[in-house]
Amino acid sequence: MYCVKCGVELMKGVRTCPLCGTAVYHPDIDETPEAPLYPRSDGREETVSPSGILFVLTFLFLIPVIVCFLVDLRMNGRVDWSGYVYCGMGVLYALLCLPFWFRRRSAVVFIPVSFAAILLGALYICLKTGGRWFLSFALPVGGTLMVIVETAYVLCRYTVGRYPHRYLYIFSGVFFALGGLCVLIEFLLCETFGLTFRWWSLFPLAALILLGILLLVIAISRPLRQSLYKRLFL
Amino acid sequence: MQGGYKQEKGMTGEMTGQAKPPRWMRLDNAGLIFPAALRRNWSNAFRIAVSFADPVDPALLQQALDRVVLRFPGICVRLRESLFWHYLEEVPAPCVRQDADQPLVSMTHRDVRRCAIRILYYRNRIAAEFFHAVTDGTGGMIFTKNLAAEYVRLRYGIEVPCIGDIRDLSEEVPKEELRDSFGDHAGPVAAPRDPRNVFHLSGETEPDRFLHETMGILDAKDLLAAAHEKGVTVTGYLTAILLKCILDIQYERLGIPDRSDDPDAPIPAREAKRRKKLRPVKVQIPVNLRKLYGGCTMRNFVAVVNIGVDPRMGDYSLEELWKIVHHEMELGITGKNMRAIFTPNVMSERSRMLRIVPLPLKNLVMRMVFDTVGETVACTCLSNLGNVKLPQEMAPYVTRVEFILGPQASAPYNCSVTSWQGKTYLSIVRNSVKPELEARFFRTLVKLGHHVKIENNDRPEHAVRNGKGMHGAAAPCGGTECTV
Repeated sequence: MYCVKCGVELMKGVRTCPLCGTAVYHPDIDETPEAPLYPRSDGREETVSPSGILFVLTFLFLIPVIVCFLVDLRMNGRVDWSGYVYCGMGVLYALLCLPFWFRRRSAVVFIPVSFAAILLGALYICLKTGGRWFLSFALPVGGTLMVIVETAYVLCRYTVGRYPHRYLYIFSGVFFALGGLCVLIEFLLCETFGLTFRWWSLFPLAALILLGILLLVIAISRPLRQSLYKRLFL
Repeated sequence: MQGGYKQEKGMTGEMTGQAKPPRWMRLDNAGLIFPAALRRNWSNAFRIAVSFADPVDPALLQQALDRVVLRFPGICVRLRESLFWHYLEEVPAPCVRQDADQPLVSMTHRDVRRCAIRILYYRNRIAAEFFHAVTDGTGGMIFTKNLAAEYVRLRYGIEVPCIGDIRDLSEEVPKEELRDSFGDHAGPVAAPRDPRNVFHLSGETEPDRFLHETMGILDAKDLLAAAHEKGVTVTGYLTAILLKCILDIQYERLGIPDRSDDPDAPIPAREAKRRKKLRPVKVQIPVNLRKLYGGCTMRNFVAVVNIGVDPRMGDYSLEELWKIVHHEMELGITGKNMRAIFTPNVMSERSRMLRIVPLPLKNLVMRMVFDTVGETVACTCLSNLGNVKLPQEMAPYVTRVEFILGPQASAPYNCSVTSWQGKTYLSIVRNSVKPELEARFFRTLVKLGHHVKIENNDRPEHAVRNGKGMHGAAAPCGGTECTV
C-alpha cells in the first residue's frame, strides 16, 4: 500500500499516511496488519476540568464574604468588622486558589505574590486599627521571610534535581537565616513597641545554628549520610 | 585519573551487593555536559536495536547481557556525583524489560543513578538505550553487536567468531577502551564557537512529550549510487536534502516563495522586507573521531560539525546544496579542524578555576553553556552510523539494525541513519504534533526516485486526543527473573 500524496510505501493495514494524514485504507484490499513497531498502550485516563473546581472554590470563598458583608451592613450600616473577613478570605484565596488559575504555575512567582497578599492584609489591619507597626515591623519581617522562602525554593527547584542530599545544604542555610531572623524580630519588636532588648532571640538562634551545622555535617559527610539513610530509610 | 578504573575510596562492596568495591571512572570530556543538561522530561540518549528472525527469549537475553557487561565495564554504569564532578560507577547488569510504546522514554535523574543503559525487547527485537554520557553511537553499536552475538550464541547454539567489533568476552578489558581520548588529542588552538542566529525548528509539542518515530526504509545501493552521482557521501546527500526541507519550512513560515529556479527574477519590496527575517540553516553532523585519530575507546569520542547555508544570500537548489555540503564536509572533517573544535571543551575541563567550583554551581553553568552553545547552533542533527558489519555466521539471524537518536532539547526533531544488508534505515524522531520535517524529507526522497517504505509508532486516536502520558507503558521487568 502506497500513499497517493507522498508516494511512500506504508506499513500493511494502516489507515492513514503518517506523513500527511491522507486516508489510505482501501476496503477491497484485505491486508493483514503488520505488527506495530512498539507495544500499544491505551493511555485512557479520566480527566477532571480544573477550572470547574476553581469556579466552585471561588463561589465557596464568596459565600462567607457576601454573608458577612450583608450582616455587617445590616448591623452597622457600613463595612466595619467584615473588612477583616474580606482580608482573611482574600489572603486565603491568594494562597490556596490563585495559582491554580494559571496554566503555567511557578512558585517562583507565587511565593512573592502570597507574601504580598499577607502583607497587604497586615497593612489593612494596621490602618484599620490605627497602628504604626506595619512599616517598622511587619514589612521588614515579612520581606525577609519572603526572601528566605523564595531563595530556598529556587535552590531546591533548580539545583537539587534527583540528588536529595542537596536539600541538606539548602536547609542548613535556611536554619542559619531563620536564626538571624529571630534576632531581627526581637530587635524590631523592641524598636517598634518600645520593649527592652532581653536577648531571648539568642536561644532560637543558637538552636537553629546547631541544627544548621548538623545538617551541613550530614550533607558533607557521605559515610554519615549513608549510615543515617541505612538506619532511617522507609 | 583519566583512562582506567580506580577504586573509589571509602566505598564498600556491600553498597551494590558485590563482593568487591564497584569500580568507577571520570566522565569523558564530551560526556561532562550531559548530566548537567539532563532535565525532568528530556535526556540525551540514543538507541540501537537489532531484530532477529524469531521472537526474543528474554531469559536468554538476560543471560547474554550478564555475560557481556563483564567485558564492557564502562558501559553498564550508573551516574554518581562527587563534590566537584559527576562520575560513573560500575553496576551489575540491569533487568531486561519489555519495550514501551515509544523509543527512548526519557531517562530521569533517578534512572541514570540506577543504571545509565536500558536493555529492552519486543517481539523479535532487542534494543539498547544509552545515556550519552556513557558512550557514543560507535561504542553503543559495538556493545549492542556483542550483546546480539552472545544472544545468537545462546539462542541458536552457533559459534560466532570474535572478528571485527565482536570481542572475546573472556579477554581482559584493554585499558585503551576506557580511555578519555579527547585529552590525548587536544591541541593548542581553539576554534571559535558557531553563531547562534540559526533558524529554529519548532512546533506544538505533544502534551505528554510522546516521541513519534518515523522510520524510512530505503535501498542502500540506490542511495549510495545517487549520492555518488552527486559527488557526495550518503551523509552529505541526506544532509543536503534535510537542509532543503528546513529551508522550505522557513520560507513557508515567512510566506516567501523559493526562487532557486529563477534567482535573477526581481524581488518585490514586501518580499525583500520579509527576506531580511531569514536565518541561516544548519545541520549538525557528529563525526566519529576514532576514524581520524585511531584508537578503540568505548567512551565518547565524537565531535560535531555544523554544515549549512545562509538563505539571506539567496535561494539554494538541491544541486547547489549537495556541492556546498560536500565542500564544507571536506573542509571541516579533517583531523586538524576537528581537534580545534573539541579543544575548547578540554581546555575548560582542565581549567583549575573551573575544577574547584562545586558541582551544583558547575551544573548550573554547564546547563547554561549547553543551552547557548550546545544544540542551539544548528536546526537539527543527522547522525549516520554507516553500514553495519557483523560476522557471516550470525548475519542470517539478524533481520534488521536500527539506530535512533532522541530529540534535541532545543528542537523537536532528530535524524539518524544506519544500514544493514542492503537497506538503509533512516529514522526521524519528533516530539511535536505535526510531522512537518519528515513529510517533506521523505517526499523529497520519493521525488528523487527512491523507494521509501514508512513505518511509525502511531498510537490509538483516543490516546492522542487525551494527550495522556503513556511513558509508563513498559511492562515491568521482563519474563525473566532479574539476576541482580
